[in-house]
Amino acid sequence: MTGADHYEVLSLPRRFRLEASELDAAFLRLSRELHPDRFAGASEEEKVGIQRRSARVNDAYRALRDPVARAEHLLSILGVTRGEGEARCPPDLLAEVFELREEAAEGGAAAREKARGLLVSAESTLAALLEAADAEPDEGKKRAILPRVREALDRRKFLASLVREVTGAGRG
Amino acid sequence: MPPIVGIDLGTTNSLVAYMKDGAPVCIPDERGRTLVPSVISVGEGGLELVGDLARGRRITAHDRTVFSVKRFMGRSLEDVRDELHLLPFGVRERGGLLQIRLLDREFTPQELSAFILRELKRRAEKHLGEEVGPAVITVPAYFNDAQRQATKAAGLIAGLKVLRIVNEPTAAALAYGLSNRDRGVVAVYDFGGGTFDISILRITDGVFHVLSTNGDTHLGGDDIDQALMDRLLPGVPEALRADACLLQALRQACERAKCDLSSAGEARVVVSMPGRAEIDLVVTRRQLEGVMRPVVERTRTACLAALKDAGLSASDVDEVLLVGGSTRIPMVRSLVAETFGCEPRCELDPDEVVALGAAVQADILAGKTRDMLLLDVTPLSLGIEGFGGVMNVLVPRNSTIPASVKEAFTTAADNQTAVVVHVLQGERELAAENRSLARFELPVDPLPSGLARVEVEFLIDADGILNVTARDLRTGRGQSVEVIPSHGLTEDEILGMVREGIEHGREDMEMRWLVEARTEADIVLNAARKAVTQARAAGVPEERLTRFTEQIGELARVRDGTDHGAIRGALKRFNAETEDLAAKIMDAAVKSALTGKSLSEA
Repeated sequence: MTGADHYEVLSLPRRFRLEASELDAAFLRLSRELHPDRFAGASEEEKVGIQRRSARVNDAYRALRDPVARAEHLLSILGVTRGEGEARCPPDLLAEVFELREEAAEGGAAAREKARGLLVSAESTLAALLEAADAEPDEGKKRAILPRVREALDRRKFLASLVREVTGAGRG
Repeated sequence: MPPIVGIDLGTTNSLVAYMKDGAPVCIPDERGRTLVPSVISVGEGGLELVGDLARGRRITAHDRTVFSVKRFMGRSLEDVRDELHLLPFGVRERGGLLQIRLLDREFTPQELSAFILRELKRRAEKHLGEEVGPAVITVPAYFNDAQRQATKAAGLIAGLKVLRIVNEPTAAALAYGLSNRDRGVVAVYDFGGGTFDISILRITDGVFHVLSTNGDTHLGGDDIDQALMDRLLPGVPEALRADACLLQALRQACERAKCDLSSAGEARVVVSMPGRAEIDLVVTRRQLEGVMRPVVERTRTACLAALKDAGLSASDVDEVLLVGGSTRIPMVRSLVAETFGCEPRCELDPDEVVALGAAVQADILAGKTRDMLLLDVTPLSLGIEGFGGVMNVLVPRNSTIPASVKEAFTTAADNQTAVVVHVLQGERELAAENRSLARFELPVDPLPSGLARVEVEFLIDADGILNVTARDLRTGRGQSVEVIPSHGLTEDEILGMVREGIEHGREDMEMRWLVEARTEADIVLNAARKAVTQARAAGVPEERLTRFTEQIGELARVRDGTDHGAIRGALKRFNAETEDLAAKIMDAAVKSALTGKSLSEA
């Protein structure tokens, strides 16, 4: 299992969209089998490996449970590199975000609503792209969608931090 | 295979349980009591007494008796500074370790907890008729790494093989789950003597999957006693307020009144120290509820945070289980019902349920209960200090354990020979505001900056304890890293204490029996003499007291002998013969001394 990605660890298909129920079922099935409680009689030397193996299952579950972390993970498996550091503001939003930040600094509730609205729309764009990527049977065509997934993911990441920023500013 | 016992090492009381014919049972003493008060007292000949005997000495030997040791486990002096003034015993820090003074000796909280564990081990061995070694010990779910390590160390010092550290609320869920293990969302509200935990679990075909946990390791019934005491102190004469012994007695009286008020509308707080102080106040349930409300409200905040982390709302919760002695308080129950919108379950004794669950977990580890499994979480985020003193989270809170993460480190300057890693636990953004778990140096070969690469694996094991290993990625060389909590014992220190413990185990049992019998006699004699003084003060005629004082003299004479069997016999006779007599005297005394003042008058 060493070196396996999170999908392999849980024996799940490499899809962006996973049903919570299929993820939970895989996690519980493996936990029943591999949890350290099942090997309480093992020797001290064996125990380290047993803890590690169980941790791999839990780490995979933790990563795949969150749709954003899951998408990041799948992109990296598929060789689409991740942007370094904080996500930048998408060029088409520069003016709007500038204005929005000013409004928020003055304590405008409307600015917070606007930021949330942008995030919601970015999330639905992302969801549509993830669905399209999962549904595409042709490898080549699928590859062509991935850069757009990357972009949508970064956009969502930026907007999520923007929402945190302006709602935080509103409270302060 | 020796039986694996389940131990609840509590702030106020501790218990030991085991699986008997497929059902968990708590092990009682000869008198049928399952609770062992978590009190340690140094008795005659420097012998440590634990449990009821030690509890009986909290007032008469307040300078050599400690309680609530759990509050000090894995803590620094800074952590506990606020509560030191409440304690009659001395606490200081030496070499990063807390030391609690008992007479002329000092003990770490781990060693003191080990005394309690040793007493539980003795009790289990006597009951089961065989040696007991492997054990499951419970801790509050919200215990951090240092507190868990301290508990595990206490187990080792007591000569136990600690197979697992289990969270108290989840253990309780296992105890309840024996009869209901199909599916559903369960909230466990665990409000004990010194700690509060809330855990939300999803049960699916025997798998108890913890979704989130929250709590406060310094919030419990003790705080309610304190709040009541603070309310009553203005009614105590100024000159008496600095009397440690009196404050101890008042604290116990407040605790008793709090318990009484769970079923009665009003209760008396009586402290009687002939010749020194007489306090007699009346407290109503409404007054108690007034002072305890802020304490109880803090538990609600934690419940809501746990629900949020589980991604659930109160209406998703199918069942709420009550755990811990403080859940006997009607106000606490109504708060729980209100917060979760359903009547909480409390069929199992809230004092015993955690130990029962620990016994179930022990059975799971023994491979006997195979259709149940507990998947627990780490209560606090684990991270490392990054640039600018921020905390970089590696394993977020509420991650299922075991959990691991690998992180690569490199050098920032040329010819640097070590990389420093500062491991933290907590939810704050700044490193300095979180708990420092450990700081360690990874040696690297002197190279230009950025060339050395060390991969560190952080593994939180099934006990919720951090294990760290490092590997030099350039040379492939592995290095083991011993994570010593900033306020914990090193492996060598633990081993030293284990050895001492073994020596201790060979103590003269005759001597222990004698000291225990004498201590019990002292407690009985003390109470009897006090009763006589009170009876005289209340105007009970001397001739009615003669027989009683003769009995006291007889018991005192035997007590000074060295035959523990004779003392036990005398105690038995004394109790049997004086029970009726004492009741009559006390009855007369109480009737003529109904002097209880109400709280508002005070």
